[in-house]
Amino acid sequence: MQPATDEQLVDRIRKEGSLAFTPLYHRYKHRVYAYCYRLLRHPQNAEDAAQETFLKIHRSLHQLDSSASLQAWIFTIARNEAFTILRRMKPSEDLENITDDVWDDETPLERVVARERSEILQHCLGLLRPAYREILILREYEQLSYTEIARVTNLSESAVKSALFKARKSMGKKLETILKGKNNELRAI
Amino acid sequence: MSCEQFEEQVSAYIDHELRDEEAEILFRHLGNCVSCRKAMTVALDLRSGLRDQAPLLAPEELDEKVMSMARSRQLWMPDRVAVPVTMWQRRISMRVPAVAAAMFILLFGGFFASSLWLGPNDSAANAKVQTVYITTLPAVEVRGYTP
Repeated sequence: MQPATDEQLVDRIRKEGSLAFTPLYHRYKHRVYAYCYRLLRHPQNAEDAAQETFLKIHRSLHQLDSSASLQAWIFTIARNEAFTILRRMKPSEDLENITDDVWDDETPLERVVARERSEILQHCLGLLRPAYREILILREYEQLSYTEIARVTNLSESAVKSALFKARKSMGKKLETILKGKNNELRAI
Repeated sequence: MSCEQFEEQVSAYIDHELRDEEAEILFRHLGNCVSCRKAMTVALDLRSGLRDQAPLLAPEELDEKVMSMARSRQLWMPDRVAVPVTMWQRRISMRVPAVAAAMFILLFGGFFASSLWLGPNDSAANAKVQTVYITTLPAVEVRGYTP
């Protein structure tokens, strides 16, 4: 039976050790992969980072502190793996291979709009410096609290608050510049 | 507080990380400041734009890679499963040579101790030995038998 909450999962890990790895993997596989993908922006590298993350988790399940947040612990490991790969990546590899997933039940027009909107946002996110990109991903996609983000990034909570503000401001400016450019393109047509 | 600082408070507010009294001060400022209201709109738009994106799913190959790795590790390095047991149910695990040594000591040690306890095998001393039976059973009379 799949544990309903992280607390139940932690309880199971404490009792069963790495035998509880399978439910943990299925609960977090998409989130860990998406996090790595958004940081690395490269499908194969994201898959490698996710695989390494789960290998490390499997090895160190016995070290899990039951009082700490499970998701913060998992994202700390994923972050380390993603950054290890990010350091090895050539600058040209980043921002390439942008694939886009769209909902199947959308009309062709909605699909184009959603695709373009998603591409613009992904592009802007990719333009942010890695520290801002990372903190925005943890907050907006993974919905981690400031305490959890502080734990993952090894920052203080006030530093997280400040970095999130700066990341949003920076992304807002980049978005504005791109949208202005798009409007000018449309006017030229 | 400057507009820059209020914009930082806007960011914390949309993350539900602002205390009630801080939120009250922020909203009082937002009522009078157009640029901070714009910052709030931009932050909320950005949030909905990012969160409304289609979910990114892990490729199926990841399942096979991770689970086969987990299986092989499990096979070679099985976990010690901590099952809570009461005191009397606990088992003592020992290595085979240790068990053999313990049995040797018990067997020969017991034999040696018993020989010390019983003393020398002296027939004269044995002759004086009287066997006394202590019983709580009542006396039984047997017909035709006189002790």
